[in-house]
Amino acid sequence: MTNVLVQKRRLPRISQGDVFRDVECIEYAVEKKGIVEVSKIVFPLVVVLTQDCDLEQDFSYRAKETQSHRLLSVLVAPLYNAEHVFEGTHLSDLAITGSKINKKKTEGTTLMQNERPRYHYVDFPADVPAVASIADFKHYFSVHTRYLETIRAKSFVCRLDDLFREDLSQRFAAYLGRIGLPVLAAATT
Amino acid sequence: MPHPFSPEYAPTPATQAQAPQVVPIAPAAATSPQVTVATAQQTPAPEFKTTAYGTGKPKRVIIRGKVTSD
Repeated sequence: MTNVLVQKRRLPRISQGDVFRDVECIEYAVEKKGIVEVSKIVFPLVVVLTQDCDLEQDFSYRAKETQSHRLLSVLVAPLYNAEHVFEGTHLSDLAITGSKINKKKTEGTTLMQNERPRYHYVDFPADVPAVASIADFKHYFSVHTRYLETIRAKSFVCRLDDLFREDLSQRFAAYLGRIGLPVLAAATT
Repeated sequence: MPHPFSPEYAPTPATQAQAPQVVPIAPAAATSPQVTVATAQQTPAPEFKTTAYGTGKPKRVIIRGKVTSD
């Protein structure tokens, strides 16, 4: 059952909550003995996390004398096929095995209710050609701003509506700022 | 046009006319709107969802090229 509202028309600029398809993340680029090797990961779906005010300023201040508002890159998080995440196979093509998550137990139901800090579950409306997906905040990465603008026309899928975009943004900020306290050994006297 | 899986969706008269020729319909299914709705709810997701974005997995692509001097 859908848990978000989306806008299907893209704005004249990249905005927070935009969902893009087939986005590349460069792993490395090396040159050795005259041969250049570039390794990249192509993500079927990503969602833009960068704050919308920053994106708006990057767009508005382009033609200005100074470029202090320009963004070098845009932060995104991959959106994995929810079924693959539950099976733990969403990264199997990268030789990475994830933990299985039982949809019917607490670990799965809390994830789908967006009560697990690391994940953000998105079930797109029926009229959006995207499967139910899970953003993994741990796997955030950045893409060059100009690259994203280049592919925007072809790769834009939809944009999360304001309230749902804010929810994603706040949850991501909370996840990044979390403090994992160490488990202290019991004191012995 | 209503979404095929919304309660408002109803088969067109042409479909109703053709169905008995293609698939025998049990009297209960032909006359009971509740059965029709239940069947619609049990059918798989619309075709575009099975070919929707995000169904696949991230893939690694490695590109190699020779450095040429200008």
